[in-house]
Amino acid sequence: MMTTADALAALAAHPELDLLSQAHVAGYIVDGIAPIAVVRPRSEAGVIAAVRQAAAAGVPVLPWGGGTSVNGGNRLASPCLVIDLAALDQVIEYQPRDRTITAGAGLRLAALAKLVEAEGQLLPLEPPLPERATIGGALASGLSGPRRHRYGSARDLLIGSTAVLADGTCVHSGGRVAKNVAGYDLNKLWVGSAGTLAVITQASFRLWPAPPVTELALLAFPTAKAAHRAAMEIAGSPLQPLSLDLAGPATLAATAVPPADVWWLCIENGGTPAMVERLRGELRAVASRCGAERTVAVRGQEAAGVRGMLRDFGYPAAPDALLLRVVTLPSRLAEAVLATAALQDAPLPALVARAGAGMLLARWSDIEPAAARRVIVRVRAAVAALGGSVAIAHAAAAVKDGLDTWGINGGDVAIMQQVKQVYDPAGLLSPGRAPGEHEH
Amino acid sequence: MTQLSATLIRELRAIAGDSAVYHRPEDLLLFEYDGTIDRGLPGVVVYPSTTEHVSAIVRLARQHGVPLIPRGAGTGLSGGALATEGGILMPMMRMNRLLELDLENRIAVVEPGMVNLELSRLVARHDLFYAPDPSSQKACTIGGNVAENAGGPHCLALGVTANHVLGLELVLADGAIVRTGGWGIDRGGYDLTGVVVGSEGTLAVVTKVCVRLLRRPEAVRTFLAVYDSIEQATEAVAAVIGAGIVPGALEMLDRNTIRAVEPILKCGYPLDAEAVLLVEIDGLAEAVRESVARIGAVLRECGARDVRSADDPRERERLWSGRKQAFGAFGALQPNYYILDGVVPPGRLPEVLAGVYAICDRHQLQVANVFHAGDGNLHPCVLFDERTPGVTERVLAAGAEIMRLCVDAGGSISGEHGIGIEKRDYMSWIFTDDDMHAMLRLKDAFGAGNGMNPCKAFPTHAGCGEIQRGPATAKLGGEAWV
Ligand SMILES: Cc1cc2nc3c(=O)[nH]c(=O)nc-3n(C[C@H](O)[C@H](O)[C@H](O)COP(=O)(O)OP(=O)(O)OC[C@H]3O[C@@H](n4cnc5c(N)ncnc54)[C@H](O)[C@@H]3O)c2cc1C
Repeated sequence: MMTTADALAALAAHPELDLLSQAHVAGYIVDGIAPIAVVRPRSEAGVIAAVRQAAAAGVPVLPWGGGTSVNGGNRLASPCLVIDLAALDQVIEYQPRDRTITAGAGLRLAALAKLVEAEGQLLPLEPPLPERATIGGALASGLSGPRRHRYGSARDLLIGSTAVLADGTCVHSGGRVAKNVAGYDLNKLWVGSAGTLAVITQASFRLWPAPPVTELALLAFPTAKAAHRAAMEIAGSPLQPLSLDLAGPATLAATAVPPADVWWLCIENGGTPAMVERLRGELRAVASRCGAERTVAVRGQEAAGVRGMLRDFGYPAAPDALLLRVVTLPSRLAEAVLATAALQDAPLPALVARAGAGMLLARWSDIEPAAARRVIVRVRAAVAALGGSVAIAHAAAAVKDGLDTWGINGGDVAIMQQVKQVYDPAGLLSPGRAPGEHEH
Repeated sequence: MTQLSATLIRELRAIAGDSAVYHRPEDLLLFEYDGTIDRGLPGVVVYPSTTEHVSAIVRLARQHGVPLIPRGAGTGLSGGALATEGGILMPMMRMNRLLELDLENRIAVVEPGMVNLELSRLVARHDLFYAPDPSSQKACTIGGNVAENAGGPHCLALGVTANHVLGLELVLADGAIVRTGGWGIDRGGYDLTGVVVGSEGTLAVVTKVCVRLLRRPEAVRTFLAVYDSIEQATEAVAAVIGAGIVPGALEMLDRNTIRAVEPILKCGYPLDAEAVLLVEIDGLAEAVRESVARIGAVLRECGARDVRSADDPRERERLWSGRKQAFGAFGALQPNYYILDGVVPPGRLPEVLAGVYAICDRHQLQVANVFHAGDGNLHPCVLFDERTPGVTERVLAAGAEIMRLCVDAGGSISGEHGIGIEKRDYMSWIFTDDDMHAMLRLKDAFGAGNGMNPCKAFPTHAGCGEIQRGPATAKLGGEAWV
């Protein structure tokens, strides 16, 4: 069998790969584990070569996009060869008239957004830190952002992909047209698979026209319950805002919008001026029915600031921070807030919720490992009683040790394990991180 | 095809009841067809009423080593529900209940045999609807929609079946009953729901479906634009999309279609037009109001000689009637038709449509095009009389050429009807062997083996029989529309 040293020598000599020097490796430490080496393929062929060499030597592989959420997920089980996809950042095909785009996995979302914006279009995929986050990373981590409320999440936008399996097989699924039912839809599997099934190298998306006018309405409520009631009313109405986020007390404090100690419901409206005006009026009515203390409409820079905070919430994650992703049915979100924020003798978290999706992000910015583990256990128990589940989006390695971060259980976890088994029998891709790899 | 044993039939009766099992040759003939021109005769037909029945039937099939083919209403257009290899055919139509309706979260749980339109009817009084609206929605089942990842006219803005299914209950090939997905809770993990949607009954049997319901739009307006050339009409499609408008639906009907439907249905399409577009705008009242001037201008700029619109439900229904009942009307032109399903990037529509006409001309076949233009999803409908010697071969040859044309234009061989048996051998036009082997690994992950709807959706392996064809009959009622 090939040794690690043989594999690295082969990689160093490969024309489609750059093997980074030891000096750069410090930037790729995950869960406290330094990589064996870092390669930056220049092409899909380079990715395939790197994965093949690693497989031949039995070396685990960690795909790397922008590194914004690579610390999420189960604790990495062993040092890996990091495959940094940053150089796969080409736009491969963009036809505005077809409302589709195909690009390399390493393309940053901010760059993509700028490109399509120039054509009056929009890719409503908004993971945290779009200046750094890549297409591939966003898909693998399954982070979709505030506008999923109107446009759906990553799985609804992805129409085709190319990915490299653990044995180096290059796999295409879907295509470049918005409607396509040929073959099993492997795209769906890659989304949210956290780098455990395949290295995504290329993706095609359907695009949306950018709304001509957008505006952010901020409604201040005295309690989470009142804010949640308003959110449910808006979500169930024919109004179709772009986003519907809830921000807990003090969460928006860094923005210029006072007061700080309230629950803000943040709604982005989009459309023609007449539509936006109508929405503004409707929201004012909802606000007064549900007991809002204040309503503000913000635009331009100010709106961008608030939107950015809501989108980036929890990121970049400080080493000692704990970020939980609590999901329930949307109707139970207020109870999930209580279950998460009202823990005895635990510090209060900052909270942001995608209210339409029933997803609550709770962040403790600096928490002792023992306290963090207590919080996780308690929140999981309380949320399970609501029929929801709790994923650990970020935690210090010591906290995650031996813990399952996915937080899911049910008969289908066994099938997920089988899926992992058929695509990566040797467990080489993002080792330790697949669903069901740790006891829950 | 091997004769099924008397024991197997007895056991099926014990599971699902005497009245649920059919095995006399004259009964089986009813199940030999779906919406295609292909055939396949099952050895036995059994109608389960519960998930437990399904589980027991699936186990029995495996134990006896016979194929198991789940079936919905049999409206499929790729042969997916045909028992081409014999075995147990399992129509799900008796499992058709609405099990849960959560109005607060706008979620419903239904059994797979529920007819698509029935679900929207059941929730209409709550101002809700189920978005995927295949044109066969008066007959086809939600289970069949899940298996094919069905689309429909309104999928342009709202998305296809996969975008509206939140979770499934499955029976695996070993009889195990499993739930996938969060059923309204976006809980993460591998998206098994997403891969089972569109898997054509080859991975598992779907026994429950959790779907998202949408709030009915506040206002709807339907536009009819009349064109003197196909090119103008296809350009208008591109122009509408280019103008940053996402209509609820954007459908095109060509001259042959207009001439078939107008005399019978009086939908108001001029008989001398080369093409008409149906454009539906829905949403906030303001959006719809503003669209009148905006859409009208775009459609006219591309050469429409007339643009009309209606928001009155009866008038809208009239405008849609020619679209909805086109396939019934084709019966007046020719006794048989063969519906194709291909996708191209919308910008390539002009040249691809021209190619479709050229291919059919060359094969001396009549073709009518009535299709989901907004997302480039073509449905050329080849009209013929199967009594003409050799015509079926020409129809199939033209069909293959048209599929190839779509692929060469950067598209796909199916937008919504699935691969089934019809297109399994074209899969290699868009996927490599590696791609397909990677996909097929999922069969192992689900433990599906080859007994679960065998020889479907992928190129055939040794052991799959020849496709049986014809006699092609126009079995679709006048209400059917694609
Ligand atoms: C006139 C006409 C118009 C049409 N218009 C459209 C359209 O606009 N859009 C569109 O997408 N399709 C359309 N179709 C095609 C067809 O109606 C759809 O594919 C539909 O989803 C099939 O549903 P069914 O219940 O008839 O399924 P069937 O034809 O009975 O079966 C289809 C497939 O589903 C599998 N299956 C069925 N039930 C289950 C289950 N419970 N579990 C697992 N597998 C199952 C079968 O094995 C088979 O592979 C049209 C068909 C006709 C005849």
